[in-house]
Amino acid sequence: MKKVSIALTTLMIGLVMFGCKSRETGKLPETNQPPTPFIYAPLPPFHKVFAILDYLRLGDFDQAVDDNVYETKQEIGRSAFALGVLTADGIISVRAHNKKKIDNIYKEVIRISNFLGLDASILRLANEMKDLINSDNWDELEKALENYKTEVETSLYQSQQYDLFTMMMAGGWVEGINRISWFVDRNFQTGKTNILEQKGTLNHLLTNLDHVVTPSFKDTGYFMTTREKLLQAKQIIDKEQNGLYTREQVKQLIIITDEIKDAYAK
Amino acid sequence: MMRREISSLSRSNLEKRKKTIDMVTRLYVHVIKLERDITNQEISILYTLLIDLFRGLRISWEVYVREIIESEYDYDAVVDYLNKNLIQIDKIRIVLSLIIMAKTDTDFEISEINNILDICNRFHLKTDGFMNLVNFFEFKTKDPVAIPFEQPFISIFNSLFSDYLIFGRDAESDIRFRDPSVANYELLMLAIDFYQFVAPGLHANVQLNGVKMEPGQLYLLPRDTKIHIGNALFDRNTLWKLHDIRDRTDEVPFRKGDFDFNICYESNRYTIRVSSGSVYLNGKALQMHRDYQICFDDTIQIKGLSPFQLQDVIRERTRIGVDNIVPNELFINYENDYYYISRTESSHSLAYIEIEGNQFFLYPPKRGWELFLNGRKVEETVPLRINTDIITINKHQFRINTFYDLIEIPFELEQLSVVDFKHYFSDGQIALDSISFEVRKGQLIGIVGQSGCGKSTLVKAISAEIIPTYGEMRLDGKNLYENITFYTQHFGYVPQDDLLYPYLTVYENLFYRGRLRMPHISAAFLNVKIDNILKQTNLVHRKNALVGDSKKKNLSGGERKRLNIALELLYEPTVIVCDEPITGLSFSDTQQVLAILQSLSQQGKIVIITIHQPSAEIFQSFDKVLLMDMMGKEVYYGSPGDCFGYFDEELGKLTIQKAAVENKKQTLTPDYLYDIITYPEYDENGELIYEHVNRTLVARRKFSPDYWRDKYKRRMLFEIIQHEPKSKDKNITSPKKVKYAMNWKSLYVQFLTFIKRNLMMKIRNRSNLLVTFLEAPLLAVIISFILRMTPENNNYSYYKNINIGIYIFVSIIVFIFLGLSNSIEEILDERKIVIREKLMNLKMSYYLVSKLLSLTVFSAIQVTLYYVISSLILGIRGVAPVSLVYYFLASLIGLSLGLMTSSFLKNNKAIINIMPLILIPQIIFGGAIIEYEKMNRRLILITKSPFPEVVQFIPTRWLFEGLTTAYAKDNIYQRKLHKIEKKRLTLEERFRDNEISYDEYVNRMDAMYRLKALIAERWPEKKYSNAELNFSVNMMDGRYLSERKNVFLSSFKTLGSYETRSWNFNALVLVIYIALFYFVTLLKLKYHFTE
Repeated sequence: MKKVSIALTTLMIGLVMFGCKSRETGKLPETNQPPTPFIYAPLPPFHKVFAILDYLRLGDFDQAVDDNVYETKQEIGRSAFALGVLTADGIISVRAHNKKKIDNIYKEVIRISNFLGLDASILRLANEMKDLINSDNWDELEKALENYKTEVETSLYQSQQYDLFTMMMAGGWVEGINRISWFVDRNFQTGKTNILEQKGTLNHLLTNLDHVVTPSFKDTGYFMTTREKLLQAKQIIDKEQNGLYTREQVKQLIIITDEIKDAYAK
Repeated sequence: MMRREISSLSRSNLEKRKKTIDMVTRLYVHVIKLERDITNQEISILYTLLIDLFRGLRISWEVYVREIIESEYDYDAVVDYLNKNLIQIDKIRIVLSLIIMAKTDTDFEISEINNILDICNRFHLKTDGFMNLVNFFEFKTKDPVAIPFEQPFISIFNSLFSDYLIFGRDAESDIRFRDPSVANYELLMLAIDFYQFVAPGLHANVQLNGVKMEPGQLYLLPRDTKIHIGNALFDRNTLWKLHDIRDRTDEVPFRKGDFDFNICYESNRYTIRVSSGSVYLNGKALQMHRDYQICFDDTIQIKGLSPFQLQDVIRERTRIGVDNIVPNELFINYENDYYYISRTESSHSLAYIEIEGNQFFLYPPKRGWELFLNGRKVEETVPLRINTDIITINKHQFRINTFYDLIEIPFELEQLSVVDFKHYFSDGQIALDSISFEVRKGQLIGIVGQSGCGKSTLVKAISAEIIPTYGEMRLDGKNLYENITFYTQHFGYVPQDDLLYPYLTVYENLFYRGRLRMPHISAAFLNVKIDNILKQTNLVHRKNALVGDSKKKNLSGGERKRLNIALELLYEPTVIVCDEPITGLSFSDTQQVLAILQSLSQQGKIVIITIHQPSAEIFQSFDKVLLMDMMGKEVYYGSPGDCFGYFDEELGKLTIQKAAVENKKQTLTPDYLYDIITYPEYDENGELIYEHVNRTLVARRKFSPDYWRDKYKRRMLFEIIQHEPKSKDKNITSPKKVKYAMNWKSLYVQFLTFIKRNLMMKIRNRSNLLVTFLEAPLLAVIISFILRMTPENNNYSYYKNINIGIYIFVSIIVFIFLGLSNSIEEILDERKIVIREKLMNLKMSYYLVSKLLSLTVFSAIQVTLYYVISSLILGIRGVAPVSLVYYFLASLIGLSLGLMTSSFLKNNKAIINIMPLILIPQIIFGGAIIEYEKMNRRLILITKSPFPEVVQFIPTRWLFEGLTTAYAKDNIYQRKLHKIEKKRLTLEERFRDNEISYDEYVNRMDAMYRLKALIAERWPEKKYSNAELNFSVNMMDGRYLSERKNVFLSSFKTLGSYETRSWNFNALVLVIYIALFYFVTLLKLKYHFTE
């Protein structure tokens, strides 16, 4: 147990460092439009988080993604959120080596990208991903998906659509927390729950959500729900100082994130 | 109602009628069988009766009569039945016909008379009147014959016969009157054989030759009959015509410069319809374009002319339209660059011609005009010879023909010389072997020879349809080939086959050809000209008849041939060449065609015709004959009279059947010429000697074709040596070129005429029209229904239908096929006409564009019907414009490919066989059936190419790609999004350039986000696009964006540094293809389109 705790802590530190490093090395391009109130808060890549699940032997990835692809009404805010959700689902499906699911997910991803006006940069990757799926090259596919995520983020950041960027991040991490909680709950061991201690992530996410100014989704119900529910999630995560959570708390996190997803899907 | 129509009879009445007809037939058969000898006249009378009796019944009288003749029946019962069931007039008619049948030859036989009287008695008819008739026939008495009967006729309602004519005021009368003093039922007329009988009605006031006719009497009309009813007068001839045309329909045109109206009749019902001019009916002016009924006592009057009645129209029917009544005066007019003759003076008249008897006098023209007669200025009244003298006005030369038409003579040709024509077929076989002859103005030349001897080749060479391998043709010494385009315009060529449009009327065939050849003259003048030509060719009465195709020929052979000649006369040809104009025609048709050709030669034209087997009369009617033997050898050229003496030397050498051949010579039978030319060689035993010719055993000829050629050439040489060299005829002048400038208006008229003609042809072909418009919707239903894929337990959704790609491809193939099948026979069917029109210097580009345009009208309709139906079934939305454009392009590809193929092939079978060769590559290389990457790698010429280069030349590849990418990326949802996306990028740029603040940027972006949401709500992606196509195209777009080179099924295309969307780029490629196919076809038509 001790060993596990040490390993987890090391991994978490590494993860945070990786995240910070990415900001410092400026992986995301800087714009020549300096005076913006927006603070870019990068979050750790999904595949790193899901790698931990593997390490903890919590991953039954094939069960983790629903057969029905997550869909929302066609509105910009909802679509950006859905894009985040689907990216997370995509990475899980890749880990599950489930061709059919990933195929469905990335068709939907392309559809949403097109609606968001991101297709030009996405289609190249989509084509690449198709070849990787056909050749069962799962490692490369995972990287490609992550690249895709970065590409989208870059594209949104470059076009200074920070609010969309935040919504997408929110979607990704809501789904991330939801799925990690689901994994933890399925094979519940208190020692393995500290993977949920994503305080920094939630903080950044909430900070970014506070900076959202676009009226068409800032004032919407789903946006309000997101903030409210994420605060609840933060309270649960922040509550335990040792980073270990009860099964009840884990279930709470699943319910909270499900509620956020449902708010968008309505 | 005076007459009962068969169609109105009840079943029991019809049965009764049939039985009565049966009885009448039995009566006649019995009477005829009693005679020893049955004459032709009896048969003729019986035949007429039977035709009339069985009219409207679905029974063959022939079968019926056969049955009766073979059967036995009770004659007395027949007579009794008829007595009970026939009305009085029918009984009288039967007795009259029996008398007329019996009077045949010389005398009546007593037994026959007794038999007739017996029938009379049993029919309860008085015999006195009938005996009067017998006496009239037997003793040739001159007293008028009247047959009394008991009751005056009041009705023929129950009559068995349908050929009675009723005169009266009643609306049901055949010959109707308006005058209230005329009785409802005034007169009944019937005709048997050559005899007419009339019976006045009860209240009739009718006069026969000035004497009132009494009711209750049936009168035999004498030869000099004149019947007065009210103010109407009928002579015997008119009465016969009324009887003959009682069931006919016709239209009598009355057309001159200042009036245009038609009198139509249908079963003796007459109507008048005025198109222009002042025409009066009983003194009241008639309104334009309205039908008025005319009665026989009505008076019709054309303003300024004498009034006339219907009787005049009927009597003069054969003359009306032909109008050969000699006028008293003629006027030469000038209007809109066009000279014409009228019978009345107008403000356009420039010169006056007075006619006295057969003498014509030309008066000096009005001030300001100069007129020359045979080159001399007309300064005082001078005599004028029609068909001969040349009138020159303003450098235009004219002649007046026998139909009083001013015929322009583009150049005056004195002599046409064929000099040593030698022609070889493409296989090297000789077709014409040194043919030389000269024709003078006004001569009718017959080219006579067996089938296959080269007559048609020779006339084609003369008409410049083919250019002989060697030799030349001289027109007054000028080589035709040096200015072939100009001269051949003045050559009329009537080939063996019809050059007619089957779905156009006689008039339309002429009108459209006239408009094409003479677009500079107005339609009104052209109509005058057509009327004149119709008169010349005796086709006035057929003016509005549809020509008909090979299966349904509405015109007789002679009429078709005359129409072919008429088509050539439109442009006033100086030389007319006809290939076998009378072959297969009836005697009367032959006479008519020959009369027309003779009349044309009398007008100073050179007329050359070929003829296979002329009668002696026809042979002698030629001014000169050219005899030909096999392999294009010239046997003789000279007068038909001298021809028979030319072969005397050979005649002396004949052995077997010499006397028979000599006999033919004595009777001047043209067969003599064939007999002697092809006379076989016999051995000493009188047996035929055979030889192999082309692996066939044939009787060897005594005198070979070479023998005849040499003989003729020797004679020619003799004549050349014996005769003084001809000095150049001083009268022969160089042909003057009169050419009408084709201004833009003329070109427009020509183009429009081509289109109208094509459209008219298409519209008139009803069956084809029906198939054309049913085919596309039916295919749409079948294809869409099959491809409407619904996932299990789900409702149908266009978005989820995985067959939309197949639908697009199949639809493209459908339209290529429809276009192809609509057009592939177009040029082939008109091949001979096109060749002829090409020789007339008509613009082939116009012809082709008009074809394409008229076909596209139908394609556009097909495309619309197809798309509307298939999109309804498949739920396709938001891509209507691009679908219609692309299906239309597919159709145009099919059309242009079809027209191109049609111009290259020469027979229908080849056309059918070539269709798969065109279509299958379109299917295989279209990109939907087989992936290009999976094709045989040997097809790839450049190793780096991912797929065979040949696919780039396949239109379906471009069509399929263009439409698929458009369905994915150019549907209404995508279009709207794209529009906003473009605005967003601009906004982004402005923000980056500090043109707008961050707040403004955010607000504007927000507005765009809202707009996008609205678009997604108004045009939901899942209703307006298809997931499968979106995915495929997105993938290919991804590849394009990665590799930056053109990829099949990507929605982007680059050309150098220029990037565009595939549906636009591909449409351009397809337009280039269509233009390419068009130009190849045009080049073929223009430069390499021959027999």
